[in-house]
Amino acid sequence: VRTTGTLILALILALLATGCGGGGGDDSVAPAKGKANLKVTVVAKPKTGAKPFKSYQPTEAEKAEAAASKGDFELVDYDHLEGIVVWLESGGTAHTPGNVKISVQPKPQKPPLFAASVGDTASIANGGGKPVKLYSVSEGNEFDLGHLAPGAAKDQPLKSPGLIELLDGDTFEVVARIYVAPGWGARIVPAGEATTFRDLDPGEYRVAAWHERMPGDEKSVTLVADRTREMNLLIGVNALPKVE
Amino acid sequence: MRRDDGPAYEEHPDRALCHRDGHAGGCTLPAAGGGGGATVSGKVTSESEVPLSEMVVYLEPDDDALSMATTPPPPAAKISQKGAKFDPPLLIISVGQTVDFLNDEDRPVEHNVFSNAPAKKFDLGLYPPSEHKSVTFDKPGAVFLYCSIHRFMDGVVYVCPTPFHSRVAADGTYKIEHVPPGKYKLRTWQRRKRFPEKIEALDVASDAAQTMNLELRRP
Repeated sequence: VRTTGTLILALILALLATGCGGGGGDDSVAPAKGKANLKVTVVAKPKTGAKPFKSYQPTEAEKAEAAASKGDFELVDYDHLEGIVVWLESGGTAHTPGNVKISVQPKPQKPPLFAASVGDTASIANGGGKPVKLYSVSEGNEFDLGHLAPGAAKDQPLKSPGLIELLDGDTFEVVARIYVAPGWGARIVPAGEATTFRDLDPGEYRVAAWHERMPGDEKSVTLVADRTREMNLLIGVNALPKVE
Repeated sequence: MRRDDGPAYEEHPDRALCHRDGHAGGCTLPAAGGGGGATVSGKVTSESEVPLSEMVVYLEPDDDALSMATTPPPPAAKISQKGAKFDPPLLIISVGQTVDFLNDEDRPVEHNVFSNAPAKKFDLGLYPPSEHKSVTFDKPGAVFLYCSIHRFMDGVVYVCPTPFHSRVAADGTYKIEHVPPGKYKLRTWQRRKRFPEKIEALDVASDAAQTMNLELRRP
């Protein structure tokens, strides 16, 4: 009985500390005194509100077959949509440019995506076993790192927001991609998962999400001291102008 | 094309540039495929063996008025979605032109074409085989296409500011016909950008053949 009572008390204290009821709760880590947390969950949604398939209604078996399709007919997996970058804009919290470590492998099956914020520095390392020439011609972030020996790294300031394709100067193929967010605190958050910006100064913020294909989302939020605010950002085509 | 009694083109009140011999019911730039004008051609080379076939070369006039597409615009272009693939995967059109997106699957598969590109944001919604929907592209730029259903379905419509454009062939050659005289910028656009884009000034004389070769190099 004592153990149960202690647990209940601890739960109540945790809820109070995270400000549950005043703006959402984060039962993991409370903000430092006088600071605020912002917990952002990214939700990717498939098409909603579509008119029913007028001429044909697929059977459950056909739906199951479609869901299991591979190759050209493979479906977008909204529950596990990858490549979403979340960041903050404005707000009173002082933030210093960060350093994003990027290890490049030659001929990756799929070029990995990294998240950075404008003003950050990318520390780009050759993670392969042979020398590599790396460069970018992405608008606003054009650079040529020259030769990098295996294990060597060079720093590259990220000057402009947008997507950088890091190219191998021998194969001219993309070996890595960096999304440079126009704010700060950028990070990759898979759909259905949450990220928490911790110990922020109370005040007004904008929080935004980007995806290469789908429209992103952005919202304003007011953070209050000693509270954790929770919110969702939506990724999906439903935000686009409809064409009938 | 230029006549001796004055400039061949004059500005229309709606800012479209009009040929003095304009058709009844609406004057027009000589559309690509029409008669007359100069031919601009050349070869694009690069410092590597990178295929350049998914590349556009187009003319952008120094005079903003010439940026208007023909009036009326060229006929609608078509993009197939059969096999969960956009075909052609790269379509080059002019500003003001319409593209018809046909779901021509031979089995019951819906598609939902959309784009989040700054030059054109749209969502065609889900529609079944044999149906089609159209979009008119009113701003120049690259419009990347996706399907909200199918993971690997992607394509691009490149909207040029004028009808004076050409897709670079596999051997690197391009040819732009029926170009009215004037000062232009010749520009490139690569679907998969491997080199800085080229911008070259070009003074097109009437009814002349001009050659402009381009070499793409890393910075």
